[in-house]
Amino acid sequence: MSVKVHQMACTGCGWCVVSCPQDAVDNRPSFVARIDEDLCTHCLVCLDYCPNGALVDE
Amino acid sequence: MERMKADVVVIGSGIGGMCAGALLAHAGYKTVVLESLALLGGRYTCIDWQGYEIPTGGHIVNHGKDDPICRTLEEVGARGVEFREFKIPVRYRVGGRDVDLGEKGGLGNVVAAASRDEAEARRVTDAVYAAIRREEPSDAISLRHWLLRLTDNERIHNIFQCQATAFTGVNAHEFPAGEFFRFLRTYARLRGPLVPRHTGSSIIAALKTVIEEKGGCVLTTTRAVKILINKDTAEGVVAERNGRQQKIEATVVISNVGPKKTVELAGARNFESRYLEQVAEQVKPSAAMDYIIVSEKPLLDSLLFSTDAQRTEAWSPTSLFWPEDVPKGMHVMEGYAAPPSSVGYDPKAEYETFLGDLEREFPQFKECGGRVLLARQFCGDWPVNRCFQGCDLDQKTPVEFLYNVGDGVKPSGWVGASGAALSGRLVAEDVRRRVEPRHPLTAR
Repeated sequence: MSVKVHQMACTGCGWCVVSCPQDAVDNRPSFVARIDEDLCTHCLVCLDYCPNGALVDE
Repeated sequence: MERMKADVVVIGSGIGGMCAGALLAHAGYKTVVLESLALLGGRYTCIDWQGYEIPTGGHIVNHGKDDPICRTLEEVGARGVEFREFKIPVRYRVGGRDVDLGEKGGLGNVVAAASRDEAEARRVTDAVYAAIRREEPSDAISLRHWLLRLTDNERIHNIFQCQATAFTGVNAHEFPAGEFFRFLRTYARLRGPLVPRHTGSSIIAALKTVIEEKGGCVLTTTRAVKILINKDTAEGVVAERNGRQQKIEATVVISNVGPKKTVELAGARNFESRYLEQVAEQVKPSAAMDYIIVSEKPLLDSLLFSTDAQRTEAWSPTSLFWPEDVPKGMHVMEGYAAPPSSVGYDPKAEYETFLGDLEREFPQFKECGGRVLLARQFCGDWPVNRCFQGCDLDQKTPVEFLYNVGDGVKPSGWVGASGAALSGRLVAEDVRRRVEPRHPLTAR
C-alpha cells in the first residue's frame, strides 16, 4: 500500500506539501506532487487535503 | 440511505458558499454546508506549515468595510475577525527606479515614470481616467489592444499587465478591456483594503459559527456526489462521508464548486444546450505561479510590482501586516506571477524564470538568509479564477433553485474573493425573495 499521484489530475497547488505531517511531499520542480516513500507513514492526511482528488491509496 | 431535511444545501465552503450559507442561516433557513476536504475555506483560508500560515489563495479584503465580505460579517453578526489596515506603500519598479503609486491609487506617477515624454504620459493617463469616469471601452478588445492604440511603450504596458495579473491572474492580452475599467471603477469608488488576521481562515471560521449557532451544520470530508433534480427543479443533494451516502432534501441547492462541476453533479441532461455551450466556452480557468519566500532579514517594505522583470511579478511583504504571527525574527514575502498565457505553459520553466527574477530584483536575497519555502501553481480545477475575468456566468442556472456562487460567477467589475462573496450575497438575496424557510430552527 502506498499513496500514488495521478499526474494528470495534480495541479501543483501544494496542499499535500503543507498538509503532510512528515514533510514527505514536494512539488518542485515539476509542479506535480512527489512523495518520498521513505518518509511517508501512510497516514493519508494528504488524501483529505488534495482539492483535485489526485492522490489515491493503492 | 440516511436522510436529512434542510432548506438550503451549499456544496463547497469557499468564501462565496460560506457568505451565502451564513446569510441564509441568519435569515432563518436551515442550512447545510458540505466540504469534501478536511479543511474549510477552499482558496480562502490557510494551512499552518513549519510555523507559517500558508494562505491557500488571496486574502486581502480589497474594499475594506465596503467589501461584500465585511458587509456579510457585519450583517450576520459574525465575531472574532481582526483586521488591520493595508498601510504599506504600493510601488512600481520601472526602469530600475521605484515609484510610489499616487494618492487613492492614482497611476499618474507610475505612468509618467515609464513614459518617453510628457505627451505620452498625458495621453495614457487621460484615457485611463476617461475610461474609468465616463465610458469604458468594449469587451471585444483586450486591455493590451486598447493600450496599443495609445502607445507601444512596453514599460507602460507592463504597468497594466501588473494590475491585470495581480488581481485576476489574467494577462493584459487576455483581459476584456471594458471589464478592466469596470474593475478599476469599483476599486476607486470603495474604501481601501484590510488584512484579516490568520488570512481568510478567521473569516471562514466566523461564518461557520454563525451557521452552526442558527441550527445549521458545516460538514468537512463530506463530498457531494449528486445534485438531485426533479422536473427542472433542484430538490437536494446526495453526499458521501466515510463511504456512507446520505440524502439531503432541500428547497435550494447552492454550488460553490464551479459551474462545470455543478453540471457534472446535476447531470448534463438537466440543462438546455445553450447553457452547456456557455459553460464549455466561458469556464476557462486563469493560472498563476505563487511563491512563499522567508528570510531572516526583511527583503521588502512595500507592495512591489516589478515591471522590469521577465514576468511582471507582484511581491508582497505579507509578514508586515501581522508580524506577531510568523516565527520570531523571520520575514515572509509572497511572489506572484501569471505565465504568459493561462494554458500551454511549462511550470518548470516559469519557476526557473522566477528564480532568475528573484535574484535580480532582490540581490540581497542570500545575504538576508532567504529561501523559497513553497512554490505552487494555481491552474485547472484549482485556478486563480474559474472563469477569465469578465467571462463569468450568471449565478442562476436553468434549473430552478440551483445556483452557482464563487469565482466563476462574479458580477462584472468585481474580482477575487470580493467578487465571489458578492455572488454569494446576490444568491442569498434571491433565495430570500423567492422562498420561505420551511425548517426554521431556534438558535441553540
